[in-house]
Amino acid sequence: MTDGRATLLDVENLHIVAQGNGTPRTIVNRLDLCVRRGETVGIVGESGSGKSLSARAIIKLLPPGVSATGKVYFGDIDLLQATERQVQGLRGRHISMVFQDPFTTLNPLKRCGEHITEMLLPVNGVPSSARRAEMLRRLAEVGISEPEAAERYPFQLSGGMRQRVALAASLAKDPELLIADEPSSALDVTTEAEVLKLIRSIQKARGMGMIFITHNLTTAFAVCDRIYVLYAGSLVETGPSKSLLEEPLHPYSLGLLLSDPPVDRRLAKLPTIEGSVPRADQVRDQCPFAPRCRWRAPECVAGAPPLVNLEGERWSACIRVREIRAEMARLAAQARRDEKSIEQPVNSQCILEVTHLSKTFHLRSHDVHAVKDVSFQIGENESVGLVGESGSGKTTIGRCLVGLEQADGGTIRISGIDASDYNRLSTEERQRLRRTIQIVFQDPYSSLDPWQTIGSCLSEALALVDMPPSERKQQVESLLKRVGLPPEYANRRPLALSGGERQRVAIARALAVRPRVLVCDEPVSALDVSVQAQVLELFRQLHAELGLSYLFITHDLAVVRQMADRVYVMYKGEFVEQGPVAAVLDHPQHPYTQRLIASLEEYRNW
Amino acid sequence: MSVQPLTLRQNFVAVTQLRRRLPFLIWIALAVIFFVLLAVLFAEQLAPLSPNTQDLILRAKPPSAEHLLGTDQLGRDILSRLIFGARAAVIGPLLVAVGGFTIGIILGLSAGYLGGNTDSLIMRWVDLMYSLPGLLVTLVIVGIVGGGYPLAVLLLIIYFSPADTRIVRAEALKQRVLPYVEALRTLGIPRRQIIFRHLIVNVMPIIVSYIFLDFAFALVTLSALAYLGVGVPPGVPDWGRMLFENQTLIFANPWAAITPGIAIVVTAASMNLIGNWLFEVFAHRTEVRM
Repeated sequence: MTDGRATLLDVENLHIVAQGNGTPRTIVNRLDLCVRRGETVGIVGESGSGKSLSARAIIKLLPPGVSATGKVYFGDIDLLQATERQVQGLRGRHISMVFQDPFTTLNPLKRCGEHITEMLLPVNGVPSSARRAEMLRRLAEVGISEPEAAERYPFQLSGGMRQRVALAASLAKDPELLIADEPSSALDVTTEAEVLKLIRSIQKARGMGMIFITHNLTTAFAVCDRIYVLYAGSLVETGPSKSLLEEPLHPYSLGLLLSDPPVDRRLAKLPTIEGSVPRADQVRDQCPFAPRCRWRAPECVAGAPPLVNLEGERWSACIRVREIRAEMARLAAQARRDEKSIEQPVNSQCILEVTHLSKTFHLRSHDVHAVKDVSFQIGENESVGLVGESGSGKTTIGRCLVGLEQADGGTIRISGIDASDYNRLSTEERQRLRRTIQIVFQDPYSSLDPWQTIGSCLSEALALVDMPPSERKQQVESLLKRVGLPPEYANRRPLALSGGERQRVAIARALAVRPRVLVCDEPVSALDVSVQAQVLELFRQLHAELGLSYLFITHDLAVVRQMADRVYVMYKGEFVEQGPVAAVLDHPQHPYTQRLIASLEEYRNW
Repeated sequence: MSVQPLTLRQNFVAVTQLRRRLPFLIWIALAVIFFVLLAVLFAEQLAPLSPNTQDLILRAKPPSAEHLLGTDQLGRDILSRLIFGARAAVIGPLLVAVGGFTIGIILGLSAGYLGGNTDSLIMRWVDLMYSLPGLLVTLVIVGIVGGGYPLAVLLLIIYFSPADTRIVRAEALKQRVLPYVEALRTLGIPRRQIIFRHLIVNVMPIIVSYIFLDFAFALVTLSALAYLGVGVPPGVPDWGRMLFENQTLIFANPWAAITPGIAIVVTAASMNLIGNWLFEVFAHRTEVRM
C-alpha cells in the first residue's frame, strides 16, 4: 500500500462459514482488508453482508457453529492461528470493541464508574484515589464531565450516555485498534450525531486505528478515511471515502448511494434497486450483485470477479467498470440535481380528526405523559408525517387511533365515528371503523404469524369483509399483485420471505379490508437501505392508485420529506411544529426541529 | 466489558460441544423409545411367555436359557413381565402429559391472552394447587377410595395441570404483545379465532417439548405410586410394582429388581432428552429470522 503509515491490521482471504445442522453456509467470501495506524476504516453493508461477523472474526468472538479461515495479522501474530490465551491478552489492551446496543452491553448491576475502573490497566501501588481520578478523566474524555454520573447505574442513564460509558470502558486499556459495530444505530438522530462526532474526535486525538461498521453510507462517509463496501459476503468496492462518495465505481455502491433518499428535496420517483439481497452461498461463483444489476452481462455470472485496482487506492470488483463508468457518473450527477417535485397542497375533506388527545402510562415508580393535549387532522387522500425521536409519543398516537391503546382524554373522530373508546362502540360501528383505518407495523419479522401461509393470512383478512370463499383465492392474487409480489407467494410462509417482502405482505393484509386511512408506524426503518426505497415507492403508488390517506410515523426526516404533504414534529409528547413539509424542513422555527435538521447537516461538514 | 466476552466465549465452547454430542444421544433416546413402543404394540408376539404364567417350581431363579432374566417369587418370567409392563409405563404417563396440557392450554391461553379477572382467578387456582402436596393427596385419595390406576392417572392430570397452565400462560403473554397479534386485533379478527387459530399454533412447539418432559416425570411418579402399592392392581405387570415386589429377591435373582428400575430410568431419561432437544430446536427456529 502506498501510504507511509505502518499497517496495524492485515486481513487476507478471510472466509467465514456457518456450520448449521447439515450443509455449511458461506457468510463471508475472500475478504481482504487492512487498517493502518491512526486510520479509520469503514465496513459498509446491509444485513446479511457479513460485516459484523467479519469484525467478530478478527477478535475471535464468533458465535458457536461459525468458523473463520484465512489470515488475520495483528503485528506479526496471526489471530486466527493464535491460542485463546494469546487472543485474550490482546483483547481490550490492543484491540477493543464497542457494540451496537448500549442497553445490553453494560452490566446492569454495576455502577458506571466500576465499568471503567475494572478495565484500567493494573498498576501496582497506585492508591484508589488516583484510580478514581483516572476513571473520572476517562469519563471526561467521552464527554461526561459531572462526577456523579460515575455513581449511577446504567439504567439511570440515557442511551447516548450509556454508549459513552461503554466507549470509555473499551478505551480504558488504550487499545491501538477499536472496532465499533454500529455504535450509533440504536440511538436517536441528535444523539447519534454527537456520539459519532465524539468517536471520530477521540480516534483522531489518540491516533488510534478504527474499524467502523455501519449499514449507513452517510455516516460512514462522515466518520471514515477509507471504506469497504460489502455485499452478500463479498467485497465489491473499496476506496477513500471522499472519492467513493463523489464517484462510486461499483453498481451496488452507486445504487446504495442513490436509494438513500435526500432530506433536502422531494424526488418525483425514488431510485430503487430491484430484488433483495441474496444469500452469500447463492452468488459464490459470480458477481454477487449481478442478479440485481442493470448492467449485467454474461461474463458477470461466469465467475467471481476479482478486485481490480483502478487508480490510486480505488478498487472495484466490477468487471465492466471501465465500460460503464461514464454512465454511472452520469446517473449519479443526474440524481444530485434531480428536480424537486412540488408537494400539492391538499384541500380535501377531513377524514380523521383528533382533538386534545392525551395519554399517560402509569408505571410503578412514576407516570409517563406519552401524549399531552395533541390535536391534528388528516384529509382524504392526504399524507401526514409525524416525526419525533424514540419516546416522543408518536407511536402511542398511532396505537390510540387503531384502538390498541386507550386514550385518557380528548376525542378521535374517524370518518364520522367517535373512535375515542373502541370498547364503547357497537360491534357494527367497530367493524366499520376497522375497515376505515388500518396499521402497518415497524418490524416485518414479527408482524406476520410465522406458521401461517401468506395466502391463508390474506384470506383470513378478506373473510372479514364478507367475501365468499370462492372469490378469496383470486382476490389474494390481486392483493399480492398490488403490492408487487408474484401469486406463488400465497403458498409460502413468512420464514421464506425477505424483510421487504414481508412488509409488502403486511401492507397487503391491511389493504384487504379496503381501509381509507393507513397508519404507518416506522414501516421502513427495519429494512435494508436498498429495500427501503422500494417499499416507500410502493406506498406512494398505493397513495396515488387507491387514494389512501397516510399517517406516516417516522424518526427519519428524509422519509418524511419523500412521503408526507404536511408534517407534525413531536417532542416529549407535544407538537412543537407543524406545517407543509417543505416549509418545516427548509425553514424550521422551533429550536428542536432546528437541532434535528442541524444534526443531519452536520455529517457533511466534518 | 471486554471481560464479559471471555467468559461468554467459554460458554460458547461448552454449548458447541454439547450440541455436537447431542444428536448422537438423541439417536439413542429415539431408539429406546422405539423399542418401548414396540413392546407396547407387540407385547404378545415379543414376550417369550405369558406374563402371568406361574411356575412354582422355578421360583426366584437367576437367568437361564428358558428365562433370560430369571423368574420372580411366583416363578413368572421377568423378561415377559418387563415387556408387558411397557403398556402401563406408556399409557398412564401419556394420558397424564396430554391431559395435563389440555387443561393447561385452555386455562393458560385464557389467562395469558384475556388477562384481568380471568387471569387472576385462574392463577389463584394455580397457586392453591401449588400449595397442596399433590403426590401425598393422590396417595391418600387413591388409598382410601381405592380407585386404582385410572383414578391415579386422573389425579395426576389435575396435579400436573397447574404447572402446565403456567407454562402456556407465560408463552401466551410473550406472543400476545407481538405485532402479528396486534395486527389481527386491528383487523377485527374475533378473539376466539386469535386464540385458537394463531396463539395455539405458536405456543405448540413449547408445549410439545414439555409434553415429553411431563411424560418422563409422570412415568417416574406413577412408578413411585406403584412402588408404594397405589395404582395398578396386584398381578398386572408394571415396572414400579415389579421393583417393589422383587426387591426381596435381590440376592436370589438381582435382575428381577434391577431391570424394571433400569427400564424406568432409561425410558424417562430418553423422553427427557428428546424433550430438551426439541426445546432447543424450536427455540432456534423462532430465533432465526431469515
